[in-house]
Amino acid sequence: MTKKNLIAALLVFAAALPVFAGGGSEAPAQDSPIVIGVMAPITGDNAEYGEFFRTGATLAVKIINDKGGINGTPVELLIEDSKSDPKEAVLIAQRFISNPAVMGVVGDFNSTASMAAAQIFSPAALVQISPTASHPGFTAIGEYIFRSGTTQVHEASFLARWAVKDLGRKRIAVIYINNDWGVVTQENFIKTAKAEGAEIVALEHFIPGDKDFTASLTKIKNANPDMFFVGTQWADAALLATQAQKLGLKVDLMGAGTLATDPLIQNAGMAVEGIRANSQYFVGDTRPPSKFFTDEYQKMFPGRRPHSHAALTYDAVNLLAEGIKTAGKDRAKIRDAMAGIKDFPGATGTLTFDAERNPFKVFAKIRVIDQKWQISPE
Amino acid sequence: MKKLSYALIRCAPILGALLFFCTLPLYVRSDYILRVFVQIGIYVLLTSSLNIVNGYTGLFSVGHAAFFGLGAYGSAIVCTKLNLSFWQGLPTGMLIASLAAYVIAKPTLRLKGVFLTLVTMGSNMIIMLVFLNWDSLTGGSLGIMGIPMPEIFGTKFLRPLPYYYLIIVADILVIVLLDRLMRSRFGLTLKAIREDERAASCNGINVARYKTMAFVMAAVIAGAAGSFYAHYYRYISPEAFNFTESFIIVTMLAFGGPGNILGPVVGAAILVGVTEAFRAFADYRMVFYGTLLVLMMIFRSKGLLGGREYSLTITWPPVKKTVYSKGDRFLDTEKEENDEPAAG
Repeated sequence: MTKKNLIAALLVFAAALPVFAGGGSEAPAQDSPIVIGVMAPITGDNAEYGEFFRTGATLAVKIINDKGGINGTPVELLIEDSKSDPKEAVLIAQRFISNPAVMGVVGDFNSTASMAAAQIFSPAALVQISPTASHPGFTAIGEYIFRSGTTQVHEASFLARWAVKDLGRKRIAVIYINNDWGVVTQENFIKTAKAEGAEIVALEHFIPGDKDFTASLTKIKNANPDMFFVGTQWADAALLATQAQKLGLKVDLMGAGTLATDPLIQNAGMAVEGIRANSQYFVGDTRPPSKFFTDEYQKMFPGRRPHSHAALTYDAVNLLAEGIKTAGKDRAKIRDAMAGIKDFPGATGTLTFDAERNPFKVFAKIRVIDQKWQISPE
Repeated sequence: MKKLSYALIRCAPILGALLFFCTLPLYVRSDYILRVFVQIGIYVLLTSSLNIVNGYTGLFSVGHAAFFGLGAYGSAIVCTKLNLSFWQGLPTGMLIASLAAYVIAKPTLRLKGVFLTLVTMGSNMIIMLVFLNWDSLTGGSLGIMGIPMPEIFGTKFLRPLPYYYLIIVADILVIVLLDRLMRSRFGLTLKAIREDERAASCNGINVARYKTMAFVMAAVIAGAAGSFYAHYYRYISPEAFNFTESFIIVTMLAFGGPGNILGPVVGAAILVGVTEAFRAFADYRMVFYGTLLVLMMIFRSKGLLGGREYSLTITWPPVKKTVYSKGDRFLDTEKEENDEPAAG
């Protein structure tokens, strides 16, 4: 008898699950608010980044609604927690596509969750725009998949043109971290630099975790370059700069946009004075849309430092809003409107989508001057 | 005819569950809920297979996600590189997972207690690092994308419904097989090892061999779950198979109650269900999850259904106490007794 009761209880539980898991959705009324879905790691290992997503999106929606919404209709956010877990991301994606009020989705944070969700969004014809997914194949999953952050392809070519065309450097040394990110960065930098007529006098690499770069740096010193490009994250760049200074390697440094953080300066001090990088957004950014974002962010969230992830999310929501403004409440037309966006003045730079729905941006040229990241005068 | 009807009655709970889950999509018309069930289904395979090792054999493995990952990667690699289908990828994934389990189990299962636990955790990390660093084969940190969806008779699995049926069938198959197996000689041997390894060994049981068999069997099922996972999510990357995933599986098993057939099912269903049901609470939903775990460990430390075994079948006809006499006359056969209800 207990067995039977147990099985019965089990069946009842299974039957009840859908009831409290809930999710019946009705067709939206004509004047109901426009809903933008946000999926981000609100809890879990990446919760600190999820917080940037939440604040960036909340700020964007507040500003849109203060101006009277999109074509007079207010905008609402529907924030769902994915824990950066592809399994949760898929469930959230399914909820968003089944909810007819959702006109577009911003998220997710990491490539794994974003790509798992994209497999659901794309066939269901709902726009997904990820601020931070960096996987090169992400937007290739489908016509409805966008991103608001740039890829290394654009970033590295931009830096190469700056070095060779604008600064007239002809003898460039390159070091890069041997992972997918470093390889893509280095390949695109060298390709453009050579096309612009520069010579790569030294090409060195290291594996993640290396701490001593003396051998590579000695080779680079002997090659006598007039520009040294470091294709690394900021922690490695700080070590490289300090060790280069000790070896007496006096050369102008340049690196990718990931270097534009304060910890780099705190760790390497005068060794990184004068280092150049590109930037989508940094706290001291003086371009008007970026400054507007920084000011509004600090007004809405006092005591918090804006971050490029928040700025990218802010832009993603605004891009989606721009699409909805042109197309109205029609998921398919919103995609077409977004794909056609040109010269959009975002907090992370003026943005145009290419045919693969990756953004092309005019980056800010920044430099460490007086131990602070500032817009480069050149 | 009577034999058949008895057999039907005996199997009623299994048939009932099968009928219930197969007709569920008729009245639950939400793809979201079907996807929740698919996720539960994947975890039921994983917890049930871990149950063979942790529940029945009394070992404590915290590296089960390694075999889950090997199944996923094995299947994804052969399908994307050799253009094979899911139905060929599935056995490949299971084979790779079982081979790895054998290689790991053979030398390490002689270890006891916490040492074995650390080894399983270590091998999980090593396998994760192989996924991460063998770029040419596994795509490194970029993972594998474009994994084909399963097909049946040329029909692709575009919506969650066919995945739902596939995982339900796999779950019920695995549960029924494990139920039979754990009541067989093999299962009894595993339980003997769990209760007292030395006594089992004294009775002529080759303990190392049985432990290895249990380990490999668990890996085969986890490999199947991995293969399903790869073709369901269609993009895999190493971080999905690190040891935090193993801990999720261990937690579900501990919650439901190890060492019986229904514990893993209930554990997976409740823990996936709770995280989804409390989605509305946003930041605080994992608090409910944690509270539930704490309460469970305080009030039922052996898990919700732990501490006893359950049968999937009903004993029919009901076994009565043997009656030798009825008032004035003696009964001479069992048959006579059994026939009475039918006659009445």
